[in-house]
Amino acid sequence: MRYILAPNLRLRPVPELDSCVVLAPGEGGGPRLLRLNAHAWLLLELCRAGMMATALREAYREAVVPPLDAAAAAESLDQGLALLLRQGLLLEKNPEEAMP
Amino acid sequence: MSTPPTLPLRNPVLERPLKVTLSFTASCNLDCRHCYADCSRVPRAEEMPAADWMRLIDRLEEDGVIGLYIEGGEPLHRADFLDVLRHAAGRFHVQLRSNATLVTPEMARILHEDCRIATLLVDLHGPDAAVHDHATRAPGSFERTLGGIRAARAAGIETQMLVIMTRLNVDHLQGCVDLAARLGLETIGILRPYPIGRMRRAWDEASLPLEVMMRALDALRLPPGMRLMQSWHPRDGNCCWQTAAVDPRGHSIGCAYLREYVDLGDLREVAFLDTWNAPLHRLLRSGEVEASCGDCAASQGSHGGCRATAYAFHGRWTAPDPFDLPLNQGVDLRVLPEHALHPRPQSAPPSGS
Amino acid sequence: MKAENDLERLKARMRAGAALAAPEVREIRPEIRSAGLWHITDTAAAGGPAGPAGQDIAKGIEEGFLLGMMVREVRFRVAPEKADAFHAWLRRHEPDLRTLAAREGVLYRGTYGAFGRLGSYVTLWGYSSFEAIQKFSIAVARLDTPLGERLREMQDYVDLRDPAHYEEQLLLPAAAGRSLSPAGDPAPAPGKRAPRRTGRG
Repeated sequence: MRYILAPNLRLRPVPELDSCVVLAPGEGGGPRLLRLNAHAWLLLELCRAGMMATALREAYREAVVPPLDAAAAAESLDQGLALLLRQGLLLEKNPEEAMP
Repeated sequence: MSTPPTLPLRNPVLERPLKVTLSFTASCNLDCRHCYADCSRVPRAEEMPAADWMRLIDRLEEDGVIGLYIEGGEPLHRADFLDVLRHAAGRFHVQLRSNATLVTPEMARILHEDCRIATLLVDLHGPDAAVHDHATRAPGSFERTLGGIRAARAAGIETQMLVIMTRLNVDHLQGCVDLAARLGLETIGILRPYPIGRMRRAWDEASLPLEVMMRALDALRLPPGMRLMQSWHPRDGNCCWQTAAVDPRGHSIGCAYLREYVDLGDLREVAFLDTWNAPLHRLLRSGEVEASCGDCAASQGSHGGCRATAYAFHGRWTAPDPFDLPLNQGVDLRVLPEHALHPRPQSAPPSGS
Repeated sequence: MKAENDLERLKARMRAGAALAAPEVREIRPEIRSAGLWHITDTAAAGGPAGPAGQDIAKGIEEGFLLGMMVREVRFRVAPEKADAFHAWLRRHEPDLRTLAAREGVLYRGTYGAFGRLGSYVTLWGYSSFEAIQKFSIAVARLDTPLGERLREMQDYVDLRDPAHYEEQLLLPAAAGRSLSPAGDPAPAPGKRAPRRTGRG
């Protein structure tokens, strides 16, 4: 499985506040404004150029272990990916699908 | 009533603003008694042309701005406005403030599909034609505004109502809330009056004592699910730390409500971020104020309330906001001091600040 | 290049334990209160030092020379006959404490024996905000959580026979230049919390 950023996002990092504001298309309505905390922003940035699931897991582990332990990191990654997918900021693609 | 602040009196700091208010024009198809921009029917010669607005918008995007709050006057009244709005489409979160009298079904479709605005904010001055049209001095404007709201909603645009509280409508605010509910709106803003433009000249007839305003807000009954936006205690945060503004001439002014007190330069001659970092702008954003209300500061850590109102009534950029009940210090909001009656724009803080 | 810089900076923040709160995405609903206001700060951040002072402190934490925006210092005694077991417990579980506390936005900064004062120890916890203190205290009270369990185990070693040997205080980076006026310091119960003036500078 590969993770890529959803199309037509505009990311506006706000490092002073450890967050990122994202302008995303709305569903049928106007655009949405979202605020990601640093942890969610990290996940989005890791997937910016598209990332295979195994490589993402490794890159994420490298970023957060320590201070998290391996089990906590795995749980956190799963939760974070589910959140970003649910919000429509990330897409899951089969590896066979052509890169955008 | 208010918890004292236990935090250092400093606002959060943004190196670059996230959003900018564009006061696109000081022209309008209505003739409101209390117009902040002292609008004329015909745009003045000094207003920035559309091509310059588009160049500025490009520059704002490069400078990291992601939100535009566009107001006037009445932006849709200027013939070239849609060109500018289309230029911004898809690149910013756009909130458009309008009287909605020019929002036909076709205009609503353009705003939604072509211009992709996020929100339409519609000014109403009362819950019926008697109160509203008296304020706009334009017979029939109430019905045209309602028509615009309905068209916007039918097109799928999130639409919100804004009401500036004055003596003319203070007894009708519940009616405005009820009207918003009947129109299917989920958000209404009750805004404080500012002593600028025609409102300043009409301050005697329009202004209210603070306790009357607070009682009027306390008396509001909101239907389930309706959100109320208001800028009195305990929601009197300081927006300056995340706000910049441009007036119809293309001048950087800090905030639309500072238009008569601040001029940081023509953005065709000076860089936008240079004005963001100008000493006066930094002072306005700093949160370094003489007194802060802990309750109002609690939401985002910003201090002192509105700088424009503070300056209007005290003549100091660091003064407390007298619209914030715990910070009022006995100021009678019906009486404007001399410097507010004859404002002069400043580009820098007083020496020694 | 900018995106790469952002990524490296984020990784540094994570490694410093400064941004470990669970991933969160919140919709910004602009509020018009005269000018527009976007709610873009954490309530946690709003409870801590704002402005350049707060950002200098955040940088200091990231660079490793500051222990936290607020530091809770807990001084306690361990009975001599339990000392060896306590040290062994620390060797086994300090990494755990660090990980479990980080999930609540709290940095475990170690437990130290006071040199020359046998049986006296200090544990340091670094908080990012008042809210983090509150969240941590809720987590501590829950015995059914790994963190609550660990802290209860640690507490078992603490000698509470004499309340005078137990002390907590909250420390703030002096460079931030602020004085803190808590709403009120309730009188401590014996053995649970026994703040006292130590006469130290």
